Amino acid sequence: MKTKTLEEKKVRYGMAIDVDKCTGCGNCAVACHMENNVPFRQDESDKSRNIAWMRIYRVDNGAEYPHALVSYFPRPCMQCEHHTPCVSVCPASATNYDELTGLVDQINTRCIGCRYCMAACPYMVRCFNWWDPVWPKGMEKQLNPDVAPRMRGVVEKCTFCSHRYLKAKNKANNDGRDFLLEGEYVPACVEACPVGAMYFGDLNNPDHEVAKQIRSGRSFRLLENLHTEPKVYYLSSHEWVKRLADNHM
Amino acid sequence: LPANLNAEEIEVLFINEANPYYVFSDRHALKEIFEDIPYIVSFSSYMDETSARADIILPVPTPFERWDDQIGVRGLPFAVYNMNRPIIPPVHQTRNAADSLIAISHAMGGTIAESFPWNNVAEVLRFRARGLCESGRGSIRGLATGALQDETETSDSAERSELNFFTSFWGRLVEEGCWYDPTQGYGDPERFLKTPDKKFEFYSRQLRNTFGFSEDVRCMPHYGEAPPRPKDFDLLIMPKNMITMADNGTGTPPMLIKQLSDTTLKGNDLFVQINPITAMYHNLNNGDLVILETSMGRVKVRIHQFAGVREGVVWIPMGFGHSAFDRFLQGKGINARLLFDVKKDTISGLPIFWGTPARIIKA
Repeated sequence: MKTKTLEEKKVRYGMAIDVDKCTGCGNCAVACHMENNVPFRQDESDKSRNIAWMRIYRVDNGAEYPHALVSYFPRPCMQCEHHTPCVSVCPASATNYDELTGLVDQINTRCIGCRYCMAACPYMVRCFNWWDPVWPKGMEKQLNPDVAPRMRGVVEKCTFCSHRYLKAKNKANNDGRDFLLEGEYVPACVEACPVGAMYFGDLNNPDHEVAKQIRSGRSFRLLENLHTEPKVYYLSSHEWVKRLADNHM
Repeated sequence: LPANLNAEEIEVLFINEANPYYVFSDRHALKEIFEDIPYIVSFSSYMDETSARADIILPVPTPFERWDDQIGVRGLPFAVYNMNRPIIPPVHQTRNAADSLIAISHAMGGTIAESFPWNNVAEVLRFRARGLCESGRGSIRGLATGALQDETETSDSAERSELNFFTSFWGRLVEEGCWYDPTQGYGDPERFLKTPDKKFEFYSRQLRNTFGFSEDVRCMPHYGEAPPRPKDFDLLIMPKNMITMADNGTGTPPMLIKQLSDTTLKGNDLFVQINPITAMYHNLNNGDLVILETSMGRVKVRIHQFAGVREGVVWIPMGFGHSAFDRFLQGKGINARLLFDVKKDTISGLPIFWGTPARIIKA
């Protein structure tokens, strides 16, 4: 059997989010935060201090009543493919780009809390732990043993649930495979979406649904002009929604 | 309280997983319940407003920890029976409300005990499932009840066939959780329309016959003129149901409160939404602290402008202003229900609480 080269083994995990389907219900964010042991505090209304791996932004078309329209943008880490800004600036190699999968991961124990990555990330996906996480008595039972809680003084962010990738890869290895099937590895947010607005898989594999979706003509990315090549795509049929994706220019 | 009940005549009131103290806008009805009824029992998994004022709380397991069922789905035009089984053992010392009622009825004896011939809630569910099974209708996850019956038929005896059939039906219902009959609400309208002609009516003859309306328009969908507003009450408040907030008296968990934007809740301050033109006429800016007043009361809220709100209307988010539950929910925002002037719909008897006249005063 021919051994695959590194180039052939490469997959590019990515996501497509259909904002025309999204109702802003927050299920994805709740599932994400439960899965990844993201803590909560009594007052979460100061968004410069709270921690959210998945944040849902509500946008509108700016029109007058009754023509005002609203859309929701769930925003995980964009998993930038090119010159990944957070990886480029991290002095402690605490944020990592995986050549085989394209996953941009965080190694919490290396983080020194300098927050260069937070300044570099154009999507503001990174959050700083201003306090040690504390869960109300009894709620520690719901913590996910596959994900280590982070301590005060370190930065954290969405990892595309990379611990799920490791689990799926181990299972595939046990089954004698060196590749994953579509759907074997899916982040918690995608799994939880009640309206099926989120797609996930290998962007390089034309058979994967996510690859078909991003070629559908409805796809766009946030701040594409920065050329960080995010691996999170959005889908919409509305021009006003697409225009908002680059509204900084 | 239902109109035919008098609070003074009730000796004990059982409240099962409901939170009337939070939900009722009618403060008079609340006073009747909580002051006149001598003994209130609350079946609840949470320390909600009603439980906090009950004489005794009987903690019930959460839906993940218990046998339960739900009949019908609101808005779905066909029959649905959903059953859930415990998937984890109870974390705390709790007891299913139905099990408590069965035990109480058995202790009371007589005809009350006879009315509860089951030993526990699982037996009640089996009883209900048997009815569904015997109807021969519907499906459980794509497998028709009739097909299941054919599968389980044996040549030994009719009794054994029936037993096998129910055992398979029950097993499948427990495993899959949901029975449904999609044929019921579709197809030939003559089968399910209850009008005299078996045709869809825009003009309701039932309304005409029941209420004796002489004007045709009253038997049809029509616009009803709102009562005149009190002087200076130039705005209307309307409830805004938040998809992330429970507004039926149940609590909202911290993970969902975390999702709220800082233009909905900032600290403990709740934002109401108004049209930018309304804001201009009232000289209001985003974030301004104001007093919102109706005939029912006055509260302090903050302003957020949004062009999706009609001019002259104030959208007020529901599900806030809890005085009970945990520190993550308690004291955040205000309970909008206390501002609404609830009227009763003369035909359906349902409460109408949208469109209460209001005014905004700068705080």
